[in-house]
Amino acid sequence: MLFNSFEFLFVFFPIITIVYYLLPHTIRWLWLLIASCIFYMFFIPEYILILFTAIVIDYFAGIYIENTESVKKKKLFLTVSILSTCMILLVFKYYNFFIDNINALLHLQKGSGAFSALSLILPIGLSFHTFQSLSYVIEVYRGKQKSERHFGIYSLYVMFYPQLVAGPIERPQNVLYQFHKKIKFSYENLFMGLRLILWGLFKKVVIADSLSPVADKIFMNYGYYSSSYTLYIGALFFTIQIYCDFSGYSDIALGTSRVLGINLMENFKFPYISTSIKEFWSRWHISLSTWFRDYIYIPMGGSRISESRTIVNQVSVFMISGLWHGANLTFIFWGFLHSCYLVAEIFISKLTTLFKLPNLLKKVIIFHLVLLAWIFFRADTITIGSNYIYEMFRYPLNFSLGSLTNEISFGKVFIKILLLLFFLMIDRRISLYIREPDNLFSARAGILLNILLILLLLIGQWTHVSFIYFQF
Amino acid sequence: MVKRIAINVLIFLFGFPSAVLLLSNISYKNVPIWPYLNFNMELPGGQAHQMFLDLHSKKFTEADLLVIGSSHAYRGYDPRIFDSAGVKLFNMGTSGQSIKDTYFLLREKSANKNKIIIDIYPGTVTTITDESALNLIQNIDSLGAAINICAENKTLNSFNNLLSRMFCFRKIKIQLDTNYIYSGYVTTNTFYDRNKATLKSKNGFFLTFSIKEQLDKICNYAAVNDMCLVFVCHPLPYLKSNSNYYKSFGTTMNKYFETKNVPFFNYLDKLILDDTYFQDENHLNQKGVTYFNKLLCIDLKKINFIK
Repeated sequence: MLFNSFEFLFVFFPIITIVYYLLPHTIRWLWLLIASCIFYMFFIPEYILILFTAIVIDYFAGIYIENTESVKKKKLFLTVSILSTCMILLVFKYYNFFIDNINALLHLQKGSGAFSALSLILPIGLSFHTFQSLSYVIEVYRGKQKSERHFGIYSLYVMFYPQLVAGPIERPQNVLYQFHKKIKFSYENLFMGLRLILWGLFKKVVIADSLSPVADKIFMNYGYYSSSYTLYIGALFFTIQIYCDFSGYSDIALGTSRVLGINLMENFKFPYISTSIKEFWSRWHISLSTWFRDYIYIPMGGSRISESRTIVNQVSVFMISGLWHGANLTFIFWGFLHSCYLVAEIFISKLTTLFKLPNLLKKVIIFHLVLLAWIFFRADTITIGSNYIYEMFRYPLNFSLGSLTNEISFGKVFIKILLLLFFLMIDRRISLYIREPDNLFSARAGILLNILLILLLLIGQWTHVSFIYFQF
Repeated sequence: MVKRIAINVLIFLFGFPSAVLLLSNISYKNVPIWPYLNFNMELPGGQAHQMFLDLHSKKFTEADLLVIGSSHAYRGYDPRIFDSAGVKLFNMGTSGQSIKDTYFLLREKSANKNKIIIDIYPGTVTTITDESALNLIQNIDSLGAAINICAENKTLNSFNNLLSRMFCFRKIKIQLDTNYIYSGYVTTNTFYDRNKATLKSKNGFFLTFSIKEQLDKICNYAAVNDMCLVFVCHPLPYLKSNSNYYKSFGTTMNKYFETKNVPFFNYLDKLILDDTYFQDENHLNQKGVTYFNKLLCIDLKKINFIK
């Protein structure tokens, strides 16, 4: 079930919310857990067993880690928990990727000694809930979180439906206590949540999904359009599409959760206004980048070690982060590219203390570096990504749309560009405005929300396009 | 708070129709701006528009054989060839027509013609999209029929298309299909080039419950109204890796139509033609249509469907 589907917006979500508030506090967890199971089972029902396995392992690991006094045993339980959770991820997400690459490296052919691949479908949101589950056992091991004794509440922590399939990847300290707390219905939570849902839907259905047909067409047939301008538009549209798609999802997740009285962490803070790559990563997919920082980068030594080791650590973490996104070399390369940017940034920042660039120029440069990296993220192979960039710079003075206009009229592309620029202008203002509880019932907010709703209904692409991050 | 909510509802009730009027009536080069902003908005025009105009001509009233289906139909059955075989054919194919819309046209627009060919292919019996419904809402000859399609389809896209049809008060530019012949048929003389558009392999043909339900409705409606139905699947460009998929399609559909006692002519694996008989990966060109239609006429005569 997709957040942008009618069955979610007009059936599932209202029923879950109404019944949730009608039930006594003591059994609300059960209701939310049932709802989360139903939500998950809309995709591939039997895969709930995989989720259940991970839940059972980490639930008991948490208790054992807390109960035992011996540091050695604590470490053992933590290792077993991490390995078994990662094993699930490895089998379902990375096994075929590694097998394909080993076969290719050893030049093994099908039927002549090649390792055979598994015909498995990736469980939806697997990377998200395994990471959330891991953060729990690590926090319990570090003594920052008490183990959760209530199996149902712990299951809900992993399975809570608003963030089940694409995050934010929560920390136990932020969420677990909220499931125990008695939550009273409040109009503030209801309207603040609905505002976030509306804004999230607007970003997904009006912006992301209307840019995606153009971006898809250009990426699929990039070789046919001998125009830099067209290829730049393809990359630009994808850059905005992926932001609106993912941050839109996160806003809907935050909104649905807020209506239920549960606050989740913010996942995006306008990443495209960053003036450095470091800043970009503090604004983009915050729950994942802080996860890698807290559980991988800092334990590796962080920035307290020699400069060369820090660089190696940064490159490794970014490449792992790339691999987390998907079992494809393109994602690893995307991560590697970002790590190169970051390393380059460290050196350049030392050199350019003498001449400071204006902020606007820095923003434009960072935006375009991120855009170039997205090309590899979107491409099927690294070669295709490289060719795309080569073609993009091949005809720098050709400002026509080339043969793209045979498929999509110039007027439509032009309107999409205007829509995109308009969105970039209003994004920060509106995102901040709708998060401000003081204007909950102001006339200005009413008019703004009405405009968003009307645009959503009339120019939204209601074709139920899935969210990009669902595949991870 | 209640007062504020009421004011917001009023703003919406005023704002929504105003926005509909603006989007439908502000135009650029005589084309409303709504389709520029929303890819799911169709414009009146093209083959469907011309076909529905022809529906009120002698071509339709004199026709004794009706073809309903998707673009495979309106690009695959040439009335001129059927004319030469002594049969007056009218082609009611529309772009991307789903089996659901085929049933709608059969029910509402067949004017009790009793000989009907329904063109199907694996695509139409595996998915139902609203592409054809949107095209029909904009082009069908009566507003009442457009409202009915919208009511049956129940999607926001259909509703928006209906609103734009109802509230567009400007004269808009209607783009016509220059390859339109008459009686719904569109001809093409280009050849398919595999290097430009590669054929994709397909596997695992499966007749879903919702499609089967629509097919049941079509067969039952025809039986109740004494209509002679024939289902036809025309040939498609050959791809070795698709042969199992096509076989599976043929077996499943044959089995289904046997239970309904309706003839099914499947040329998908029976007639293998080279790429010069096709205009693209889905459609026959004029050379292909001529060849296929002559063959079909012979087959239809064999079962006394036509004389």
